[in-house]
Amino acid sequence: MTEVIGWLLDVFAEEDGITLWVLAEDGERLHLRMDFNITLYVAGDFFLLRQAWKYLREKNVRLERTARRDLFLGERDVMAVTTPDPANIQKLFADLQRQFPSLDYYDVDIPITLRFIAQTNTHLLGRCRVILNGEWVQTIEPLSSPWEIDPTPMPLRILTLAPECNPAVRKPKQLHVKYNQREYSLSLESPRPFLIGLKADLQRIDPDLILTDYGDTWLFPLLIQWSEETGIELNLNRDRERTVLTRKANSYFAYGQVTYRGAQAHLFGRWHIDRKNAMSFGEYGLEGAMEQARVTGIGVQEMARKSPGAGITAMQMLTALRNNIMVPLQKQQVEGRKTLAELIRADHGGLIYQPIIGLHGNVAQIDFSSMYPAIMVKHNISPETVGLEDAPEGLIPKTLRLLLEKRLMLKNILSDLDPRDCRVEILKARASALKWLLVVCFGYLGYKNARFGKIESHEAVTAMSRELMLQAKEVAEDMGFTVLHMYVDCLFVQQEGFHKPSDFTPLMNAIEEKTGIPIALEGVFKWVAFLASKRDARVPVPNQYFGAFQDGTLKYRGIELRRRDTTLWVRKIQLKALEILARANTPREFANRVPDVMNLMEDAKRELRIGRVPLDELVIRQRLSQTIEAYKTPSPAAHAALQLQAHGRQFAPGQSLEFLFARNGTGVHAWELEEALDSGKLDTKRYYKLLDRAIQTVIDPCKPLLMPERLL
Amino acid sequence: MDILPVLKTGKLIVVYAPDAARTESMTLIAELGLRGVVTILDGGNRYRPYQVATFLRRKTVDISSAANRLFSRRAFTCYEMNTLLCSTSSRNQPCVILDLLNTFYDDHVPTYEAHRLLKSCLGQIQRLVISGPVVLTLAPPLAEERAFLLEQVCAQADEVMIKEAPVCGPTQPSLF
Repeated sequence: MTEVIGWLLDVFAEEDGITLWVLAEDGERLHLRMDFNITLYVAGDFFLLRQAWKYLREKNVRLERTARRDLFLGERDVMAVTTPDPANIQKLFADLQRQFPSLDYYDVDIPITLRFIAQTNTHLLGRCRVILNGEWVQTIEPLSSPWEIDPTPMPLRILTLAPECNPAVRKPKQLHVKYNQREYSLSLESPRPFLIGLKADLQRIDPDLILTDYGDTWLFPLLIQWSEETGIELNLNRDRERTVLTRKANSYFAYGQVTYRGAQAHLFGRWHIDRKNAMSFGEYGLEGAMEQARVTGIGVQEMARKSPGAGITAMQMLTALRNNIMVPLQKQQVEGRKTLAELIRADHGGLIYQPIIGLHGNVAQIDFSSMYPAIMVKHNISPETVGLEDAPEGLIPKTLRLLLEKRLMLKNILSDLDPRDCRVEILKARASALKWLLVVCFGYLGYKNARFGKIESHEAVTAMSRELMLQAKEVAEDMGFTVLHMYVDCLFVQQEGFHKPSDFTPLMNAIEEKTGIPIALEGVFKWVAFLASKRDARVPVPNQYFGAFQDGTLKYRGIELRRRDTTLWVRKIQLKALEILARANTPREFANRVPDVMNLMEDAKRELRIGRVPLDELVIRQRLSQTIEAYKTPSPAAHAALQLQAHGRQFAPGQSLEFLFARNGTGVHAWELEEALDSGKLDTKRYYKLLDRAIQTVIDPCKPLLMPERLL
Repeated sequence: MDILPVLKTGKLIVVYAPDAARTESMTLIAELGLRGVVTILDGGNRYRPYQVATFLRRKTVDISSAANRLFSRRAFTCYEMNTLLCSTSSRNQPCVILDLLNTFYDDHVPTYEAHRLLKSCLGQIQRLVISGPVVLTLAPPLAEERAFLLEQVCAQADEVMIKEAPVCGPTQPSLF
């Protein structure tokens, strides 16, 4: 027997148990094996269960009659089907379901990592002690918790591979390779020397993580193809017995839009993350992806590509497994009966108190910290507890409690650190990764495909949030503040003579005491502008504002700068305009700065007119919301797609297209076309309009201040 | 499209329209609500309570009495729709099922499952029809492969009312 201490890198299913990859303290990467049984449960009509029993008797499974808990139905008599072959559980289930479709199935699609964590309490990326007999794990015990604020960093070897250009636009000639401080390029001109070079690098470095650009959609398929063509064996896995796991590209509808996810290439024994095909990698990077993997129990390369919703579902599954609650394949709890009046009362979102249009000085923004998750935890809102008095802690609060605490702790640490501290970026990434999990947990109470959701619990959270916001407003008004705007979980308040952060502390303490939900001061604006609708200047638009904090930092929401389809050029100029305005300390000074902004705009237009703006700053990015053929009146993105389609490119709904506005038949020029647009053909008037609109947004709020007094 | 006169216990009326008869179904619900208790089962998030309330307000000052006679439940998956229908008791009162097939068109649900669940749902609808009139609205499938579901439902209907999409006539281009 030998003892190993290290970090758990990867877990995956085999036909006779599971494989573990452990990064040992001495730097060795260990391939370990472990016996592992998997159980799924079947419930329903007794006669059918009997038939299913007979059907399964012939297979390599252990059958048992037992009672298990369904979250909503309570204890159920079920048939437990246990197999020592985790790799084929899906096939076993698919066969069974095809034969007996009307039975209820539980615990059939739980990722192997979650089962492993539930059974051993050892989490991914965590430190563990393993007792081995040869390569077989006898016991494994955790030495760390996923909720540690400062986990011991893993000494990962990271190899970065990136082509010099987007392969969808041009054929790359070089592959940039980076390892530690060393950077070099491999020529892609000839497959054989390239493969030999890359293979040597992989053997020499033996990376834990291959971080690529376009690895999923271009590099890995190319490597596999070249390997077959040249006969040079290249296994990118650390696990030699495995081949690269590939998944097809798909388009799906999520968060109100069609999203395209490119093909994927997953590795065994090491990770592969394609930075260009990882959902939120740009937002929180590797540290964030690792943090999410740590707390959700989903492998790093999976989590980097999946939505936070998949993470929160995994966390709920883990809580269910740990509490002996079965995870249903399909949620079947339906909404209770409501009268029209009840539905109108219940079916609301968060509270919005329309802003008072215009410029305001010395305004504090105070936010409830993770308001919805905090409500779920504090008020025990869970699908099975909603409407019950004194119910034991529900599955959802149980899942969220530690997550919420960890995020608040990270935020507190961050607020105490100097911004120049080297830990800030990492902590920010981790806090942001946790934030996204918390953001989606509310939606998953009402999401159709959530395993543990019920619309009433979703409604209960928003009802409670509206109540708390009203309480906060009353507290603020009782203390003499004017509430300028409220938006779901934040308030903008103002009082004559109050301008320092400490002036607002008594208010925050009073709100926190009244509501029981933590609240934080986002900052005190020197001035903040709430915008009016572009269609009707009398109508305010919620959550559309910009302002400058006392240290000059800008905050803006809902304006062109935040929109993904705004060109870089317009964004840059709008940001510069805001920076000019940020020098103003009062609304009156703001108005005095407007001529500077107008000059900035005229200069920018002149630059564009004489062709001094790089074309890549004028690129517009838009998403295809449907197939190109489905457009009756093609959007600019669809026109761009049609131009590229003529050159053999294929597009799926959800894919983004880049183009320039041009003076030609369709009005656009696809950015990825081989032939560059002649700058003389640029539709400058269209760009002027975009810029005018963006500048108008930032100067509109001070219009009343610019009017001659006699007109007022 | 006047649905009210053709309603009768024992009769299943199917209304097919590109928008699942959004406006007509809300008017029908309001009209039925003025007369008695109505069960509304919503399979496509089509129920518009404010619109119904507006219709009611045009017809009566006692809006709350009518509003308290309209009972609704929503399903967000075809599994939920099946559960919803199974748990709806037969009463001598009209039942309006909005956009029944919406959740069955979901391409995450295998075709054989959609077929199996719809069969079960249709059985439950037959049960409801015996005790009260049932109106069912349908919208076209998102993909042609699921069109057979539409045919299955229509085959069981006593009357199918089809609302065609309005055809845009030629318009005079503006000169200036």
